[in-house]
Amino acid sequence: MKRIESKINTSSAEFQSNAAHNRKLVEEFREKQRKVRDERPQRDIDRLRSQNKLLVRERLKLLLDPGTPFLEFSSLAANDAYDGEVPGAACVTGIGIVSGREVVINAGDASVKGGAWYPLTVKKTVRALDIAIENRLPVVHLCDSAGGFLPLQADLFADKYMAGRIFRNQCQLSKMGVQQVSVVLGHCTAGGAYVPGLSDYNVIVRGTGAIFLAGPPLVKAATGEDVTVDELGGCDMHTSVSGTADYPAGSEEEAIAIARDIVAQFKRPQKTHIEWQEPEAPFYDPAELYGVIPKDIKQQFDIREVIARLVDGSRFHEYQPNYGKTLICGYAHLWGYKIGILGNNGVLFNDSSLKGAHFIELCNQNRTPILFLQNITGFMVGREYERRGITKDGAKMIMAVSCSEVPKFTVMCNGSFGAGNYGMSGRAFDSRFLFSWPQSQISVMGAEQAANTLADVKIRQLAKSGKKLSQTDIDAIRDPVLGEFKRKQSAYWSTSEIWDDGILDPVDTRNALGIALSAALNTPISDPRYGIFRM
Amino acid sequence: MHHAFKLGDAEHNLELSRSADGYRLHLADRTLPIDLKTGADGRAWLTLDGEHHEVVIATRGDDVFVHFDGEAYQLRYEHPLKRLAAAGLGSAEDRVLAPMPGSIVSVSVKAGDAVTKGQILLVMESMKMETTIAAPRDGVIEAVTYDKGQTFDRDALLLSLVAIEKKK
Repeated sequence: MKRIESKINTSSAEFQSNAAHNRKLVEEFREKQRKVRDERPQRDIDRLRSQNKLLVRERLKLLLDPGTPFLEFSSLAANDAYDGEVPGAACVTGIGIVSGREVVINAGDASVKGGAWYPLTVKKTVRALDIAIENRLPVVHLCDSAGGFLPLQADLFADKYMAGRIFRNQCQLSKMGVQQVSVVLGHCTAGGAYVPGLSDYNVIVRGTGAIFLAGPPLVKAATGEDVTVDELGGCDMHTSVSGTADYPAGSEEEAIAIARDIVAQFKRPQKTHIEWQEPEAPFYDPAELYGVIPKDIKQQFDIREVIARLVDGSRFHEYQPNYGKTLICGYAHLWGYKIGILGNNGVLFNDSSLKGAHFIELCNQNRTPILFLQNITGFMVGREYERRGITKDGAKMIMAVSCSEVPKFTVMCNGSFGAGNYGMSGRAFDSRFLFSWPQSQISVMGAEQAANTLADVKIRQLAKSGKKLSQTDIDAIRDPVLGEFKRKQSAYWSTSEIWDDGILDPVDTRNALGIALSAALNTPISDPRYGIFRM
Repeated sequence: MHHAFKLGDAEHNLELSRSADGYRLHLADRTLPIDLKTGADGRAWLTLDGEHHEVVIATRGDDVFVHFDGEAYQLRYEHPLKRLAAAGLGSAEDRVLAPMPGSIVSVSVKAGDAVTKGQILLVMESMKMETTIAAPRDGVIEAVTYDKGQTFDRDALLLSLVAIEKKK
């Protein structure tokens, strides 16, 4: 595998100005992340302190092995929703190392609205458990929730991927033989009670932990019975009488220490064997990514410059270097793991789509996980290309992506527009992990194109009835569409809606993918099998 | 494994193979037993043809710095794929073709201009994206086909460079 030869001049004015621009974007991202993680109204902190409770980040610090990385998912979930009042969607999820085992962590954040479940809290939790299922990762639940946020109950309760899915996923994990521990650090009421109820091991803190289907006020209303929290579902009742919880703990510190000891009893998984070699740092400094990514999303850049700053030794075996050149395909190693990479160098043509489908088949045949690096405006349009069957060639690529058995990983490096999002394994195509860079954008078409299309439709409608629109009228149609598109195609909107597993500082991408690859190999890779490729 | 190193201007080709107690170094005319052991303190011992030498080795990318027997050497590792590709460089890069259909946004050179590898020649637009076309090698522009605003098909000749005279 030879080294990619970078053609970028790192001392050029363009590189420097890109770097300054992108560093600023990353600073803004870091600041948003810091606020979500650490900034809470004093009264919420005081409330938790008076209850003798730790903050969720303090709990995580006790739970995770010191000096190990924590890959947090969707840190900015719900940030553009609910007027920004539910930072991180009131929960923390991610992959961390506990007692030497890779586990998924699902922790409620009681400093936000008492840890109430908003619709996006449920979505984030379900996604974390999907990750646990797909990658066969044990789960540690740190339970502290006020229950569902009642004013929005219709948006979080009954549908297929709403709250019930959390419990369904817990059952699936158990059926697969993947273990779960719940640490009950606050109240687990109603649905929340099933989180420990469906776990294999439960630890509960005396005084603050409680599990019940209905709390004292609801019991009083329903049956007239007067009962205290402790009698109804406290630590000693559940560990000595009902058997709903297993281990009593005198403090949060003790409870988390017990949970660590429980995880230490888990059998270590046998990972799927794939090609691996001693890892090597990239030859080109990943920090140069800031200068590689252009300021203007319309400006094309060579995705090989990105690959060179992600993979071991910047080495890349390029497949079909002279065919379908708008899609770069090839093999590399990342943190030692052999991977196949598909990256966009322009719009997808017939030949690039076929090349992509073929390369995905190659990766499946030799059990090589695939990384998609998206910077795509879509498939080529026009008479010539329709005649050559651009739709059916794109369909072949989508078929190969959908039926791929090897783990897939997607990074939204820049643009992700139209069906290109699908062909390059967008969210709907079950990539094991999908991350976005701060300046990336996703939408069905560009904002300008969408606004013009809608204005066009309106103009033609009115033309039929003999009316004509003035430029002011046209602008009145265009401008709101433009504004709405721009807002909703930003990475911050995507990540708020949990269309990804989080925004990454481009420099952290290599490490995040390393953790993701390691996690993905807990699941065996099946034999490749596809549907019909339209020939 | 076949390897090639440049020491000064001279290229050295050699091969390594495994042996029971280390490696064998295959040179053009002979084969020598060879082994390299690195101690915890970073010092290294080279065993070459039964003799031990203390050596200091440092690498930076493809450059290898070796201190051996009182002399310092700088070697450059040449990847076989790169070396063989460079040997076959022909006139393929004299013609710059359109990677996709589109239109010209700007042209920054004219016929007769001398350009260096990587220099921006023109900017084109296709499917909402701007693509910068850079010089594939050092050379002189022979002709520029399109002006700003003109459209072209895929694989259209955008620019050509004056061909380099082939070495005999």
